[in-house]
Amino acid sequence: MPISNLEKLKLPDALIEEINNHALIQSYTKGETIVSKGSFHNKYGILISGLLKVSVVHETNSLLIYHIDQDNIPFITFLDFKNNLPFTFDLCAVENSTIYWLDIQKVLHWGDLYDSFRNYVFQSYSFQHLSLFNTLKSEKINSLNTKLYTYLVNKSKLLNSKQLAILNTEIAKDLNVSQNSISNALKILAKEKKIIKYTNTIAVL
Amino acid sequence: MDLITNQIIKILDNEHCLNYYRFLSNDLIMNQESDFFTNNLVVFIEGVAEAFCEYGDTNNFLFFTQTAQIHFLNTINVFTEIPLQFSLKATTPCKVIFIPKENFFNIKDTSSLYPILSQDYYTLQQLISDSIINTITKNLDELLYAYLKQKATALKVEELYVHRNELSESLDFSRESISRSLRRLEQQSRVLRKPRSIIITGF
Repeated sequence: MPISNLEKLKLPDALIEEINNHALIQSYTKGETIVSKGSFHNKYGILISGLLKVSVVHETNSLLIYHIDQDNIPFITFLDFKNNLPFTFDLCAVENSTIYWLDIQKVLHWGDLYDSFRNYVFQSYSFQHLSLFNTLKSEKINSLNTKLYTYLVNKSKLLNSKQLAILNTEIAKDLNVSQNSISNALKILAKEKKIIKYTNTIAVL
Repeated sequence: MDLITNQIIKILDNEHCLNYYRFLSNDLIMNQESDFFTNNLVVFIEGVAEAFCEYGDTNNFLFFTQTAQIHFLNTINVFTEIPLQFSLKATTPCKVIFIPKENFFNIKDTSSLYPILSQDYYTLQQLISDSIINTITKNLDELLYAYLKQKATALKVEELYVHRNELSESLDFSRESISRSLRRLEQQSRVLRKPRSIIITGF
């Protein structure tokens, strides 16, 4: 069973065992929507393997907020523990992914017993807020070229590859702009020697 | 006062952590530049306040908050050293409690506050997410109308005594643009302009 992520968090062994015993394990394929905005999902998630993305959506608009990967805090924290309220975001699998889903009551109980677990839970909320503020700031002050380059660099780091097999449609959706704008911005970045655009891939320099 | 605020006050009172601070209208309650909020938690008890981000010289309106909507205002700082990401200005007289972080973690009954914290995180994430949606989808007319409606809702009034300058600062548009936008909103019968106030119609 892939428990490497839990071990990386350096949680107490007894807690790792409890999590393994109580988690509902689910796997998702690349591109699959895991939870949609407005749906009710009263479980707390820990990403065990793969890569996820969190987006804000409104009617036909969608904007990538941040990725959840194994190397940073892999907690999926959108919930109000007190009230059963709907998800504010869309959560999708960028790569084939496995998530441990945990009951909220268990999470609260373990939070009382283990300070390190409680800290992870709430720190992940804070990092999510920081990502939201960073997105807002970027939307306010950055040009599309800057946003696109930052997006490609981040994606390259997350996938640990300089070559990204990514379609313009996917980038356009993540950045909430038209495909034409993405094509134009990619040409500018190529001219500035920040990327090389191949037929099906983009090399981040 | 709502049940949750009462519950927080009761817990803090038991621990002798009740230090009330009062702010007048237009006072700055939280400043995103200040380190104070990395080390102290802020509990909002009473009033209406406007949250905004400062990017260089420009302000970016985020949301209005009122009694019982968010209890812990700087949730981002509770478990991290991340700097505060927004400022908060009193729209009406406000009452808050400041708690040094170390005192918060020494409270015997802290665990009963965690569900409240998660509720505040959730509310805040919704408000910031709405602000992002407004930024990417709305033109000035829609932004201005949303701002006026939110303010009127928070203050529980239909008529707002608000200067064009204030609207211009909050939404980061020129006074002229705000005036033109208000004229368009009036033509659409969404607001009624008066010499010193704006009435939000159909509200």
